[in-house]
Amino acid sequence: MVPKALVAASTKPIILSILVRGEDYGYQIIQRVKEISGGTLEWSDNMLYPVLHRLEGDGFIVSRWKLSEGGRLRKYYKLTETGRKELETERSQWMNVHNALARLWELLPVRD
Amino acid sequence: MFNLEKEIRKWRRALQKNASLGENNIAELESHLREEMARQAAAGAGEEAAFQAALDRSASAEVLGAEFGKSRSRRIQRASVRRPWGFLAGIFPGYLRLALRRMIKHKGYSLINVLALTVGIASCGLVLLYVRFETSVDTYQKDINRIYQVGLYQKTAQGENVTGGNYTLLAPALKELYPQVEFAAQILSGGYEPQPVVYRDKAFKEENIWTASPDLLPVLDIPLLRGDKSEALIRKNTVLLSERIARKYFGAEDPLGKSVRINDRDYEVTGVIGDPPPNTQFKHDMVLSFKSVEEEEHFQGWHPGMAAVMTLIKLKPGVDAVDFERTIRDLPEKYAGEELKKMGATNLMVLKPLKKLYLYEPTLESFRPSPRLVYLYILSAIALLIFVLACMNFINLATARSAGRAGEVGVRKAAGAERRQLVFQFLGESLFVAFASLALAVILILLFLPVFEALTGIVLDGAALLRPAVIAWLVGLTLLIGIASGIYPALFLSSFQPVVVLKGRLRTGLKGARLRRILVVAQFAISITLIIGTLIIAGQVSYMRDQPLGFAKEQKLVITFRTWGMMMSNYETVKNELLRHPDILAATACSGVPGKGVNRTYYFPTGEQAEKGLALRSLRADHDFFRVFDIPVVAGRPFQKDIPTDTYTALVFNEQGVRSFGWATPEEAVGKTMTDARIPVVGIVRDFHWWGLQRPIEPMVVRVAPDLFRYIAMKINTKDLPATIAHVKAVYDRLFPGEIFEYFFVDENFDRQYNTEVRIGRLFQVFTFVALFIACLGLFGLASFIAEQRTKEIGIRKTLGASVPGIVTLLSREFTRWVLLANLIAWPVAYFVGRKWLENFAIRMPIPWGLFLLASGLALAVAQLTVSYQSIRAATANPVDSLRYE
Repeated sequence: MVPKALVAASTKPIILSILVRGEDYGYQIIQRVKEISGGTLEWSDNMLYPVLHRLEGDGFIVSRWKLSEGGRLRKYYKLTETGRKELETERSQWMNVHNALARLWELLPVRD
Repeated sequence: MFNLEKEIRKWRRALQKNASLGENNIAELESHLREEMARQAAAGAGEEAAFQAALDRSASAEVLGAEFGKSRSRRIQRASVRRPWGFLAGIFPGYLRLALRRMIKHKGYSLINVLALTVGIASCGLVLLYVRFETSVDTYQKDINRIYQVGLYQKTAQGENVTGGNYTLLAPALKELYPQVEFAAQILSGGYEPQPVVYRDKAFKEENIWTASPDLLPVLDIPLLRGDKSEALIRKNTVLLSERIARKYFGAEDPLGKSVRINDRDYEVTGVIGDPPPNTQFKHDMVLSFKSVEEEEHFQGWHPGMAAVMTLIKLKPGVDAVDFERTIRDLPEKYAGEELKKMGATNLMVLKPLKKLYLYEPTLESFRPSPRLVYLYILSAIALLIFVLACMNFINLATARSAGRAGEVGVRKAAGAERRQLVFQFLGESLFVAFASLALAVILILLFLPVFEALTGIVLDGAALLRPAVIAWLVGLTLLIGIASGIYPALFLSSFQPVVVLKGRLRTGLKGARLRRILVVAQFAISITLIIGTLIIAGQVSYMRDQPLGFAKEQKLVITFRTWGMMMSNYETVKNELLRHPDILAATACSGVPGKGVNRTYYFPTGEQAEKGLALRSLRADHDFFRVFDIPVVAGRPFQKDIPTDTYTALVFNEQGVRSFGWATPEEAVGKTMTDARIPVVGIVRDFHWWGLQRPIEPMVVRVAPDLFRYIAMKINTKDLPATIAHVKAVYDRLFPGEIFEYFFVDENFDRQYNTEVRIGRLFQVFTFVALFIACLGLFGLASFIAEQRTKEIGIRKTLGASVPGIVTLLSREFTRWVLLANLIAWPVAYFVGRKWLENFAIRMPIPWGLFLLASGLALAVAQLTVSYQSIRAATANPVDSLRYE
């Protein structure tokens, strides 16, 4: 399990990173996160939807309602140009943290 | 049976109760729920199990609402911070509509507010116009900073003074001797008595006939519209006409070169000048050339005491006036040094800037009667008071209404409105009311202008309202009113805590009550002060009118003679003709009557040094003067016809004259002789007032002499006045053919000296009424508010057996206390100011205490009347109605 604070911090880059691959809707996003994280990240709806709306309000993503082939109504989210730039910023910030940690941990003896 | 769609509807309804979840969000959540159900179903769950599993995996309505709420409130905060000009919203249509809707809903309060502000702004606007008019006099002169009147400072044994009249030859001397002087004009401003002007069949009397040297035109920049500059005012017996006068006498005809008859002398018209603008003190309708009078004896040479000619100069640019004044100070010394020394007098030249001449120089005999600066101040002060009253009203009513608006404030704050936004909203509303009032006030001013003119005799130009400066003032004033009266309510209302307000009743009554009480007391204190002021002014005027003057002013008809020459030794004939009518009881020929001008002549006791003499007010009259005016003789005898020396050489002094020569008693004075001609003092009369009671009684001498007569005064019986006047006119027309008959009554003419006081009294009355009106509006609003607040209390009291009079008393008692308190403040203030004003008069009315009680009674009565309507309405209401909705 991942602690709450870390989940909250990573929601935004993760959502942006998923949407950069193409339009997606809320339920599907939660499924993808679960898949990619190998089940360690399990998002709830009450966490995801407010964040999606906030990102939309900030202009990083846009939404539209679409009728699926199975006749189900879904709200799809798409990355905007601003969102793409925001993702780049997020990416470089996270990479900084990642690189730092990766280097630190390379030097440590690994205990099995 | 499990019904999926029904369950989902139930679930949706639960979510809908949450305000922070919109329909759009709920739809998305439902879509999510259905996805989860589809997954569960795919794994083999039944419909009901799938729904339950999906529900378990999603959050409850409360949690969802809280999460969405978080993200929304963050956005609201951010949006509201970035709006520095948020207050403009107060004026924008949305708020405007809100404000209008509120005003219409509370018609009564809005009416009171707008009415009070309208009257307040209109009063200020009117005074503004007046002040503007008075301060703008002559400011249109582009060289105003270079124009000066040269005044004459005189110091003799009797005292010192500064007059506008100066030596005749001063102007030419200044121009010749000093290169600093660009132009210098000699001016005799007419206007004491209208003079007859005749051109062919047109004959009128004209007032503003001046006599001036050619430099008048360049000094005052008077445009010469027709005629040649080299002809204007140069030759003897020529005249310039203003455009208006030229039109009046000549119509379309060319006046140049024509001859008009002015005061029995023919003058050739050599030019037409521009009409004097309304805001000038120089009212020159006709200007005669100075050359025409120059040869007259009293305009010759440098004679001290012969100073009657006004001198206006224009200095060259860059000349320092203070330096120049120092240079010319001692000029009389050079020309009249000998004579001055003999008289023991000092004469100095003083420069009076044109800029200050009109308003600030009451000692100089100005070109027209100057309104006293004091009255400008008084009017401005009253306008300011009314302004303050109107603002107080606004604050009062706004805070009184605060309980009604507390709910609104609470809701708006709970919805995320900032305090500043609310302040701006309320300010916007008060500004809106203020500007609505401004619009009404402008209309009111225009309607009131003729009334103002009728009251004060001052003609104001309504078009001046359109001048940028006046508009700027009015708009500024309105802004000030809007902000001054809106800021306190705005701060007060916006300070409410939403939790307190929304939870239950806010006890605004308590906090605002003290302020309201103070404001009402202040309003009534101001009103009562004004009432007392009005009463004091009216009292003093009637006191002066009724005061024994030492002579009988009633029932005296006077006919005037244009020149001294018209009636010399034939005066007895004129008198006898007049006396044929039974209603003419007595008649006297004289050089002046009380209330009209009288010259001074120099007298000294025979054998004494001439320096011991005094310039006394000196009147020439025939034997009947004291009899006609009922002036009693206290020592010696009056003039008598049968004593031969009483045709030229006999003097009568008044008691003040006796005192000023240092004689102990009137009896001692009788028999003394005056001057080297040894004119005997034959009698002493009791002191009488020649002028209005603003001035003390001066030493006076009456000389019997059949010349210099200007008037015949008659003691008449007013039984059939038209017939008497017709007889007098018939006699006059027969004896003086071709002259214009003119008459006046001594009492009317005498009382005209109190015109300024009467006028200011009327203005005071109007403004007092306005102030009281505003104060009552405020009181009315407050009373209705309080009655409304206490509706239930009154209902309970009535069901418990209280009587209607009892309840009316209960409601009125509080107001009565306030008004009584206001009296305590107003009395000393009014007393002090009243005393100060009365110091302007030589004879003052004692301020009676009854006057204060009268003013207080009046204020109290008006206040009671105002409150009683509300009290009676509240007291007679059926308690069933007021208690039903409990």
